[in-house]
Amino acid sequence: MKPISFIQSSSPIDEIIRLADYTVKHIWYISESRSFNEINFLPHQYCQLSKHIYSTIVPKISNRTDKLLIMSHCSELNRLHSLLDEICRHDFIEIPRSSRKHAQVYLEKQIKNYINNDSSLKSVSISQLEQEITDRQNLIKYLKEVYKKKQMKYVDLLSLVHVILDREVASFQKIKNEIDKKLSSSSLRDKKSVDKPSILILGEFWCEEIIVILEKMDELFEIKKDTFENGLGFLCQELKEISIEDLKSYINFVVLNTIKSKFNPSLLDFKVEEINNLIEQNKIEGIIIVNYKFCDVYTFLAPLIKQIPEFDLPILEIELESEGLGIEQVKTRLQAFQECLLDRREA
Amino acid sequence: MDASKFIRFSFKHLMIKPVRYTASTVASWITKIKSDQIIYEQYCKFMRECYRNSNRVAWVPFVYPVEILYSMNLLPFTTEIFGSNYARVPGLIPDAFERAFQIGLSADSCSFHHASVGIFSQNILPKAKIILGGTPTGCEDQYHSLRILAKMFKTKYYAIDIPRNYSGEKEKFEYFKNELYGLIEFCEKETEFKFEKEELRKINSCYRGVYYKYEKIMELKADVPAKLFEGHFTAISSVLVDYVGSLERIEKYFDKAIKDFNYLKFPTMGDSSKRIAWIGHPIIPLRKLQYFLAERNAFIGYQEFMESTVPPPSKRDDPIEEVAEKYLSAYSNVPIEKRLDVIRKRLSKHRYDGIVYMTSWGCHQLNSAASYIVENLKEDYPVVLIDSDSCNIKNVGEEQVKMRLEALLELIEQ
Repeated sequence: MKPISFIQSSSPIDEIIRLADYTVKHIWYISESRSFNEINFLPHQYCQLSKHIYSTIVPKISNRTDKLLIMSHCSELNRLHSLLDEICRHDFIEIPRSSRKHAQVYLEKQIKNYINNDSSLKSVSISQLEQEITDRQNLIKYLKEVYKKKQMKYVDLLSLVHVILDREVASFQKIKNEIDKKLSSSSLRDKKSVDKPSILILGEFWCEEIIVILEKMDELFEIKKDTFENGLGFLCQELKEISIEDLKSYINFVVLNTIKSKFNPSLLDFKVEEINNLIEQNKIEGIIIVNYKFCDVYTFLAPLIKQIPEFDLPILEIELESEGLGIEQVKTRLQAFQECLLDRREA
Repeated sequence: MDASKFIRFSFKHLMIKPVRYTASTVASWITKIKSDQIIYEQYCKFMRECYRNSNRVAWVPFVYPVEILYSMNLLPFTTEIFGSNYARVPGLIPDAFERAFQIGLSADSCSFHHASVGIFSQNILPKAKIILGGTPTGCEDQYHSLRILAKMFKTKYYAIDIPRNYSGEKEKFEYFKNELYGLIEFCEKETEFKFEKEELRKINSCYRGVYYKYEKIMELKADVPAKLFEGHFTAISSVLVDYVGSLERIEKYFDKAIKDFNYLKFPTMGDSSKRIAWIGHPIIPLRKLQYFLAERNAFIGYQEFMESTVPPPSKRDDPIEEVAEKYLSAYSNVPIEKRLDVIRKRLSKHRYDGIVYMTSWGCHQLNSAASYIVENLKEDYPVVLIDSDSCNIKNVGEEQVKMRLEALLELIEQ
């Protein structure tokens, strides 16, 4: 059985890990029921994602060949990493919050160290690596086209992002077939969809239970864009294309596409005005912000947007707690928000 | 020393009531112990300077590389220090929280920053030429709240990132050094002031010179009941953070404080008193807790929060490298295991009978380390973990806090 590498990131670093004969699993999709209250090790007011990693991933890394890679700019995940030292095999690559030139150098060195510390990663063939990256790009392009043509339900599309991220080596055709299969089975949008208010979703989506809420959103709104690292945000990121000739150019490719690809208010160079481009390009009528309890990344986004009077768009903030989600209350709020947007349209 | 003596002393020397709640009376809410009077005078002087020279004012977060700003003749105005001073004035803070909620801040974010945003949005404070943010204590809220204020006041904003990947020391250092160069470049561009390397060298040397005095104060303080819920926290923070660049100011305060301690102007704890180490923020609005403890013959001898305000100095040829090293090795920027080592070292120097670990609502820095530190210290001391809030009285749960403290005292007696 292949060792598993659990990864918390959508960075293309997973391509080399996959080729080094690890089974890659992105931690967003681990969906076992969680009893966070039973965790004494982490306090109540702690990041939900960290609790999720601690309660579901760490127990899985039972044998010494499995490992965990946290690749994040988040201070809380960083602190979790420092607590895991005696518990499991794990690595942390800090994504700098700054995108300045020296930040690239910093990330580059960390990735280089990570690869050099694992002989199986160092020995990966560059031609194979190049092929995997091309496959990844092509799959993303293909799925993006499907999304543009509105041929598939939003949640089906999201589940296919997961299939791309956790795929096996050399599985391009298999994944493409899977997309086609989903395309044929996914119910097409009804004609009424043109009347739905168009929205932009800002926030994070990492646990499967949220799918129920996203399904409801899809039913009520025209979801034009999201910023999910494992959703449309992943599909629509503008990747910098670099020819992969050696390990150095691969690291460069990973760095550029890790630092620049994110829409994230925690990054220092984040400009709230960027939302304006998304609004204008997609004729957005309302914004939904998806927050997690005790996560600061998107918590401050709404007050920041409110400081810019030109935006003048209704904002709905949903705070999710993966344990005790309160799905029905969220659904009611979504319905009320839809009515608000429709009233506004008529006015 | 008995409880009644301590209470009498506290009322005589510590309590003053401001007449009018204005920005300057908030500043005057600093305690009236002799050495603290210097801080009060300096703080008022500093405030006046900020009001008169708004072209030199930069709003900054707590534990920020202010040395660089001083070397450029800028005035770094620490928003959280002002926020915590303000929180101690009864009646003012609920209004600030209400304002923060209206602006849209989530109830789960840190109450210090709630207070800061609420207060600063009233436009009563010295205007800023630039607003500087960042993550100097691993606190995301610091960075976000200042960015909101920058947008609100349409002021130029720049943030720096302090890296925390503990496995790559050299890379981390280079990255942060370049962040500091970025900060200098921004300040030079947006203000009329130029960075003076030699001035920074002098400031660093001043800091090295006075740091040992701070260590001396920490030693002396261990035997004096800490004014945990009074001004000492904000006073020392103000002096160390806001006035780090001025040898004259900081030395004057330290010398006076050492003199106060040496000549026993403060009451000292007797051998029969229960000594408590307080880890985490103080509960600023709940001043009466110190009397609650004193009535039970218990005193606080060590406040862990002070560790994060005073990073150890460094010695390098390049002054910017010195600043980079200093902040990277600051208490709040090292791994949790190292924080535990610092606490253990302090605790080993004196007798402590019990430990309180207080988490503060929305403070990730404190909350994330809680279980690890508590579990480790439990091996040697009775420890209680209190979930509370350092700034917002609504989240404090006064009776629950008292109950937990009583439980600790019972544990100590057993």
